Amino acid sequence: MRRRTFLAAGIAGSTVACRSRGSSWRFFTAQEARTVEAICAQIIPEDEDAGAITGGVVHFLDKQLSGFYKPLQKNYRAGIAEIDRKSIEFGGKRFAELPSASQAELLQHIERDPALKPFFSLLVDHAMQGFYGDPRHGGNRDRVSWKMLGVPYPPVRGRLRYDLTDPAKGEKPWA
Amino acid sequence: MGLKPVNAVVIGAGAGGGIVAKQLAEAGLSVVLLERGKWYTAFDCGKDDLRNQRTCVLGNGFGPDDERNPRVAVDLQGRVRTVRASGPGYNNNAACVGGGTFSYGAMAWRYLEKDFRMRSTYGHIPGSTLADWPISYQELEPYYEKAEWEIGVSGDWSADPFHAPRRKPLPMPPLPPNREYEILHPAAKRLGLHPFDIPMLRNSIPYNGRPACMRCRWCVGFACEVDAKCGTHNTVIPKALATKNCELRTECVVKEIRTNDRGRVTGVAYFDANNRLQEQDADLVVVSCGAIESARLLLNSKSKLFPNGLGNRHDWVGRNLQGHTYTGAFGLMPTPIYDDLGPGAGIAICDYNHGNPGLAGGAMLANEFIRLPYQFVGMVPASIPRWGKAHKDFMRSAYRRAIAVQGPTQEMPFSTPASKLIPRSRTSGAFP
Repeated sequence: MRRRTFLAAGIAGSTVACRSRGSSWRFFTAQEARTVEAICAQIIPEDEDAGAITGGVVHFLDKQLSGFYKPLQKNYRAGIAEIDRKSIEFGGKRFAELPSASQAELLQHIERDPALKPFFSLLVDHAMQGFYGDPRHGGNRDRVSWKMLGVPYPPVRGRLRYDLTDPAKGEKPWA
Repeated sequence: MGLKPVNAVVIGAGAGGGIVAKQLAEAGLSVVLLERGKWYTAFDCGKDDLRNQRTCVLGNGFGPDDERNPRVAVDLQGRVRTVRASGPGYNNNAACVGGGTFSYGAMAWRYLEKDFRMRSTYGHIPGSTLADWPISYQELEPYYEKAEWEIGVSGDWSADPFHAPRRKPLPMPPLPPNREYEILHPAAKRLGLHPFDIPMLRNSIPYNGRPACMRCRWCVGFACEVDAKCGTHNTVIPKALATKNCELRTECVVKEIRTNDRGRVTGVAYFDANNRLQEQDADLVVVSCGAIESARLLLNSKSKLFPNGLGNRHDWVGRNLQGHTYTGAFGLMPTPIYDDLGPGAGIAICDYNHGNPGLAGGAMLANEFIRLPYQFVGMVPASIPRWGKAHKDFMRSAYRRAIAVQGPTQEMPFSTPASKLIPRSRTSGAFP
């Protein structure tokens, strides 16, 4: 085997090993990812600031469902399938293919559906974690939510502001 | 075969155990200090807003770890479920050297005189087991002072007219005010209240060989990156170890306290870091594992003479547990006030600790520690939806304008058992 063929085979092999079903997702199928991303886009919509899509919330979910949230894999698989089923019932299409206004309307229904409410609440909470949490966990790409909120980054260290007052003398400029 | 006997075993290297270990070791006793968690340092701060000791949606920052420490929770309907250490229904007290003091917000309140005499002050509260303390403030005062100076407290209580008599000031001045403080101080004054600087176990100036607080936003729930927060892990425990009389063993979970035929304590049996059962004999055993784990250990220490567990002849162990819930309110200011200047909390009033008409007790009120973005997600008013454009709009417009003022809820003790053993439950060390 020539060196180049060997390398190509190796790369192909490793690709297969870490990307099941030929997709770039760790846990989701491509279809599930589309559905979840569309739901998250309703939970945290794009406007003049980035929303869940730009913030990569679906990547946070995919990463955590292969890690700390592994015990919730079944909930996700069943919940996503059920939302798509409801969506077809509601508008004849999978959730991601519905017009945005219909998506929002459907989610209002789902929020009041006793069977789906727990999964939807979980998804809302996880989407918020992915959007407002630390980028190290796979979401909040480029710290978009922190930029929106105006949380300084990188953090300023050593902000002692001892120039304002001399605590040793008990000075209190506001007194 | 057991390990070499010592004078004292202290179970739990937290707020209580650390101090006891130091006192015993300095008095010349040989001490083994057992801790179920790990020994973290300032380098383990992490600054991870989803995985720390206050927001643990992706796990506890500093223990207990999920695998080794499940608990079983029984709800009011009697349903039994297993609770992971980082899950809801546990609690978020760290399990590590220093215990809760490693990552706490570090307010250093003294009880007021009336807090020791709640039953005398408020009488019998129906359904409650409320009682006076067997000690008074005056008896405890010298020890408050010792702790404040040895562990390190900054603040200034002099503007608080409700404080109990004290002989010495605090060893450190307060940190300079942040923007919230500058708004709340004159506002409280205008209302006729008495705001002052919260006593905090946090260096405001270099103290005890450690630097001053650098005012970052990762405080409560985190390890202090510059080691300016004072807990037992960086004060009394290093002192105990420096005597060479004290040995600290981490990741050791005590199974039971052993007693002999005459009812005397002889030592402990514990699972070490490799889950091997070890026996440590000692003349003295100090139980300082926290409100729930101490009760669990005593209830697990059964013998012929103590069939219901140690210290439990009258079936009081595990009862009268009081929690740490907070109540408060948010105010939205007309313009942004967020100044990113930690720790956030700095100003308090004690006007409502006692003497509230129709209530037994009360509490101090203080401004809150800095809320990290995800922590603010659930703090929307009821009129705002939990998701969608309206939620995002609220986050965007309110995050930098919100001030929270909160206080701990005064809870009454009840005899309903709060901690008891569920026989079928097992930790990995195989005890209930």
